[in-house]
Amino acid sequence: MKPENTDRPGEHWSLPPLLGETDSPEIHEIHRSILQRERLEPQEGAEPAPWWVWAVSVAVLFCMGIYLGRYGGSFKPVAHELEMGSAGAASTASARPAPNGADIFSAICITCHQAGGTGIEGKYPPLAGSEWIAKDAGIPVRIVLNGLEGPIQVKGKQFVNQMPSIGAQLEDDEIAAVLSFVRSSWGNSSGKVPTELVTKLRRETAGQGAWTADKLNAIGGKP
Amino acid sequence: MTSITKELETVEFRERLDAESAIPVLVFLASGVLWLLVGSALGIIASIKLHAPDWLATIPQLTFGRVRPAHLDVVAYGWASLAGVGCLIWLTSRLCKTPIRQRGALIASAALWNLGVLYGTGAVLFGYSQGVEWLEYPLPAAAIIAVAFLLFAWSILSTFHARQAEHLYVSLWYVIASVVWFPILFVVANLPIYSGVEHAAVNWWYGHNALAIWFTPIGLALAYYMIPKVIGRPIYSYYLSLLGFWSFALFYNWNGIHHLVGGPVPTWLQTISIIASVLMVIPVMAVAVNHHMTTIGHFKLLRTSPTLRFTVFGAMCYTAVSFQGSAEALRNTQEVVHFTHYTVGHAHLGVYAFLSMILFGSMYYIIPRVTAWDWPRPGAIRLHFWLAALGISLYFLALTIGGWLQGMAMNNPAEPFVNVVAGTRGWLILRSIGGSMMGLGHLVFAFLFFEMLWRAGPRRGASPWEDAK
Repeated sequence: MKPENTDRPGEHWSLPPLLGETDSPEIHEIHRSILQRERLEPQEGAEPAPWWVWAVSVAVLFCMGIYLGRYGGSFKPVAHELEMGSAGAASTASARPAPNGADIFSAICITCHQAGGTGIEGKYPPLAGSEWIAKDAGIPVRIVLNGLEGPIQVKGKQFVNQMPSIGAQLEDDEIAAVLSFVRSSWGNSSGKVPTELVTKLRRETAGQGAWTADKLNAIGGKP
Repeated sequence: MTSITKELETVEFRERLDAESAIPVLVFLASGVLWLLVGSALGIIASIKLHAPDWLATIPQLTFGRVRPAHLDVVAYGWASLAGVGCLIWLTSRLCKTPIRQRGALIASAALWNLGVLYGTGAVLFGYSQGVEWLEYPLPAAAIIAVAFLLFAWSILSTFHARQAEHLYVSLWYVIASVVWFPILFVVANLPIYSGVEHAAVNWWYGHNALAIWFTPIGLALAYYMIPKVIGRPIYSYYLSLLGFWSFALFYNWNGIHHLVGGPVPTWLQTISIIASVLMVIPVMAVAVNHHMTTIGHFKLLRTSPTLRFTVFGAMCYTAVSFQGSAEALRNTQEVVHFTHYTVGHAHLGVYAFLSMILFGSMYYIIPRVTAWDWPRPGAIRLHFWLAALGISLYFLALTIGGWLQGMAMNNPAEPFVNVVAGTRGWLILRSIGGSMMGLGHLVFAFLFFEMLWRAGPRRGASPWEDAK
């Protein structure tokens, strides 16, 4: 960091006036004149702080104490506690929003049974106007829980196919929601499916394989 | 005043202090000024890309996702840190009333620091970013900077240990605190052991603390020195200094998680960071009152001292940015301004209008004392001030208004997102204009700085604006 002085070629000097360097008195002269114009090093004054500084400080601390009590949440690794309310603080699971039947239908059932619940002729039976859906809510709940296989007569037409069990994918309230949606769409009007029914049937049919039309008829679900 | 204290105030003694700190100070300041130019160019490129997205879009190194973090890193670790260190070296020697120690370590620190910034920024531009805001530099670059910082801290603490001053002036509290705090923060945040939500929390604990315990102490230490020094009267109140420092130390480092309000971070952690952010009102008020009561009655000096003009502008912006930050941390405000340009305006009010302006002001004071040369062109300093001050004002207003409108529009579900984006265009163009004004000011400043380094221009024998009364 020792650039040549362009004003005086040939003379080499450290850019700043280094201590003990006497070959360029001019630098000292200029530096001294700068330092002589300088004021003393800063001192601390002893004025008392204005009273309102303390007042505002105490007021802000007080308000933030209230804020902590109001929005502090529980000392747990839980996010969104305020949005979930007091129930959410106790259990994150119960904070799940109520399931939406239409969304579940669009995510799972729609692939085979189609958007209007029409099914596909010769392959997938319709849900719109289906006698299996309409009569006893226990029948569609059993089918969703455990699946269905073999020949089945729907609206006067014969279908032979396999529907997988969906019971493991969905919670009881989700099955209730999607079947409630199916039973009240596309002209169906057979009403809501209660979650308790799904819970009860899931327990009763545990270990049951896929249903057939005959087995469903045997438990009295014949339309 | 004892005779020893008097002896330590003589012209000869101060001449010796300046002479011994001159080379390290100038090495750091010159590096800082060069990085300022690089950082300004990167910032302007990033800014223009937001309203002209096709510009330079085919060069991978100059795509927005690389230029924008490179800008942040260059101005933070290059400009603000290096210029800040240069000023702190001079300040520490003056306040400890003893020559700076470990000058060799300081030169090594400057070399390593520049190497780290060069390597880290190159890595970011070539796609080797860590992808974490404020911590983009790959580990080797961060490690180099950590070593550079420790060398600097060693010099400052050695000088402090050898101090001849009987009383520790308030500026020194901030300097000593930050050289102890920052290396811990920087090393802990760079450890490659975090993942997921915890990584995000560490990220913003670091990101905000880089401002809280490194950049803000630099700015406050310099403002606490320059204001009473230029005016020539004591700082108003020792008690306010105490209140300001200790409440600052207590509250500021809790603030970081307010960047994650609404995110998947424990609720109590968010709430505590919001509370700490609001409690920052206390130190900021103490500092603001202390500076204002010191300056009051001497505002006419703003016309004759560039140091005071830049520093007082910066100190006022510290008050403004801090009060804005306290309000911005609240959940209600976050619902509007999170993920908008408003936040970017706030960040520049802090790092530019507060810190950089104080760095400029301090450099106008320090550089004549380490080059033995008076600033040659009073008009150019005026030009620098107005370009910087008007540029940042336009920048801040455009992003604050534009960002708020953007946030309101994003909260309206009926508003298509693309309309919100298009609606920010005019404000972003204004921001580019403001940013370019700041960039022009930096060119003027760099020209003046290198003139000083070569002792070029007319010899004046007066402080810059004294003949302009």
